[in-house]
Amino acid sequence: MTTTPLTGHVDRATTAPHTPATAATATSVAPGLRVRDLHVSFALDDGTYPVVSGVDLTLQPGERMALVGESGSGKTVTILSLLRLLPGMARIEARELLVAGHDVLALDERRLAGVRGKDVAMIFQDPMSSLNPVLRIERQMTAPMRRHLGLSTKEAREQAATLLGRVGIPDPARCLRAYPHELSGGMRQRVMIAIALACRPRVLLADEPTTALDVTIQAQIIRLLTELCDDLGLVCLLVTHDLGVVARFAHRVAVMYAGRVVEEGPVRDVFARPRHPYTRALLASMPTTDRQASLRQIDGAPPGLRARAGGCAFHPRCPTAVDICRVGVPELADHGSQHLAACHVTAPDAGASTQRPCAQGGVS
Amino acid sequence: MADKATSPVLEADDLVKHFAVRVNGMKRTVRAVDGVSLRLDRGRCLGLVGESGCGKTTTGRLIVGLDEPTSGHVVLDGEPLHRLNGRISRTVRRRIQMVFQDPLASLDPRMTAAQSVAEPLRVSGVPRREIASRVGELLRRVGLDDDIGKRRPGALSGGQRQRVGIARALALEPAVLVADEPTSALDVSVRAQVVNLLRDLQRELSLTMLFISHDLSTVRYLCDEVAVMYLGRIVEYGPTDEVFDNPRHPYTRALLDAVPVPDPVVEQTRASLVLEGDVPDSSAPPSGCAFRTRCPRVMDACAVERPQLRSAGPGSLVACHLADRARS
Repeated sequence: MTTTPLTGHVDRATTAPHTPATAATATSVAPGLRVRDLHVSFALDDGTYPVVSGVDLTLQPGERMALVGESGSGKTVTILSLLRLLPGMARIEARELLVAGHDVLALDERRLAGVRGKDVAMIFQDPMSSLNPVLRIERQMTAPMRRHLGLSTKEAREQAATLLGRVGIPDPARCLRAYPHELSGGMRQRVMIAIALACRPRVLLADEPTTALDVTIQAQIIRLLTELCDDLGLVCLLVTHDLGVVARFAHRVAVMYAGRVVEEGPVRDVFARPRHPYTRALLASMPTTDRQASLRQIDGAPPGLRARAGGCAFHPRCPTAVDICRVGVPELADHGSQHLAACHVTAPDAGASTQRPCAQGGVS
Repeated sequence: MADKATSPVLEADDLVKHFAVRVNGMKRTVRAVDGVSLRLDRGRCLGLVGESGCGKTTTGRLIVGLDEPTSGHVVLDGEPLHRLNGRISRTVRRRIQMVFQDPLASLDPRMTAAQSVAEPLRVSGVPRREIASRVGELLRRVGLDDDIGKRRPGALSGGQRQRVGIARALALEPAVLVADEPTSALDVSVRAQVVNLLRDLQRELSLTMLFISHDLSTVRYLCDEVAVMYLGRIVEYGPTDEVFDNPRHPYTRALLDAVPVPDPVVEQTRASLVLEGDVPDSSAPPSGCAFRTRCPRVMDACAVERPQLRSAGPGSLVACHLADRARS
């Protein structure tokens, strides 16, 4: 995997205006997670295609953020690139990629292995395929603790049992002896969470952790994750396509479309006053109790990797698209109260939004 | 809602489907569907909801004749689906059609969209010269132009594939359409298109529909009545608004509470009831009420006797001792 940080890039507005202006330069208090200008491209047989283009994310300690988008929007690629978990065809570039204080792109493989599962933990969508089917839960839980924390087998086993109790497994001793297939889907996801927490991480990355689960089990897991994040002060970035999960879990939300963050802000604000036509359309397409009205549908389908539109990628499906949307990529513009949206039409200074916005959140 | 004046198009009577499985070498019986009775009135849409493994998909497959019931009957307009010799009546079978969950898996990858839609017409002996015009008509009906008909599933988007699946199901002008999670494999922004299409079709063709889904918000939007299943049985049935606004079974209440709604103000203020534990193993269901192991309001009687579906208000049925007690 090639990981060359971009150099000589034009400076742009900070897209995390809630970060105090000083924090952009000071390194004293590293936030849980800071990504600036992340680009990921895939080298496929017929050419190189950008998958993620210019994503900025900043999470403060204790903050829970949701990254939402449809399949192909680049949300999973974004979260995987935070631990460089992408296959060899992927090329990651970023001006800054700090996760739990580590410059992920600068680490060599050995030091990166010391970060994965230690300071930064990850939970995947399907616990059955991420747990090893031929090893007992005990082996899988104690291995990271012995490696990263240097615990003895006995200490690790005791801690594993405590952790399993913490994530709500009724009989930890029995669970430790079990193989993954002997557990239910919800139990497996709890084990995954326990493994993720085993080495006391500071950052928790969760890629659709409840998509494979039933709603009643999803409710259990979301509640558990919320409690754990609050109790342990974890920074959590959760990838999902379910706007209901976002509303239940997150403080802030970033909406992705065709590889870019098109809207970002506090959950309440984004849901109450969506500024990007895509976010608006998504929220409006949710079924309501009014059965007389037709659902507000979005025509067309999300674009594939090879067929992303020029200009604003959403313009072919956008009801309010104007000429400029076909040519210029809109920048994220500040709508106040830390709410950003990348749209030519709804931009506060509409008309002048093709220019890079001056540093709203930065030094004035 | 389901008054006696309307005659039911389709009646499923006490459907049972047991599967024999082996667990650690021991023979066990999974009671996937354990006595489900449903009644579909003309032009109405019945929602069948529940978690995975509750038997809702199996119920759908029994109704379209894809699985053979262990016992029980399906009757369409007075004619039984299963003949006395145990074989399926083709004349009944063709009038009950199904839309599957995953359109990519349920369309033949080597057939063009038009060929897929033409297949049921061809099989049922529609003259060849009529087929082409009929296929074009069907594709237009589901919002696809003729050009799309020449493409194979691989060259279609998820939403287009599901439209082809719906056109194929409508080809023989079925009396009943069974839609098994038709939107859950689709992208969020495409779902509303398919939901609107199904609703328009249902209204314009006065289709009778069984809509199987775990997506409660879509069920609420689309369906006139709702049946809630748990471990192979219906635990609550009633008019949609009644079930959603005034759930009588503790399971229905918990299910509604578990669904996160896309509104942070609601989500962060409501005190939701989270069910503990998992759905029990359907090869060894609990005695009495199957929900008692997770029920927040369990009583002694629940372990002893299985509650029967009883009337609980106009058009509503519920199987719960608590509701029985409240009534008496």
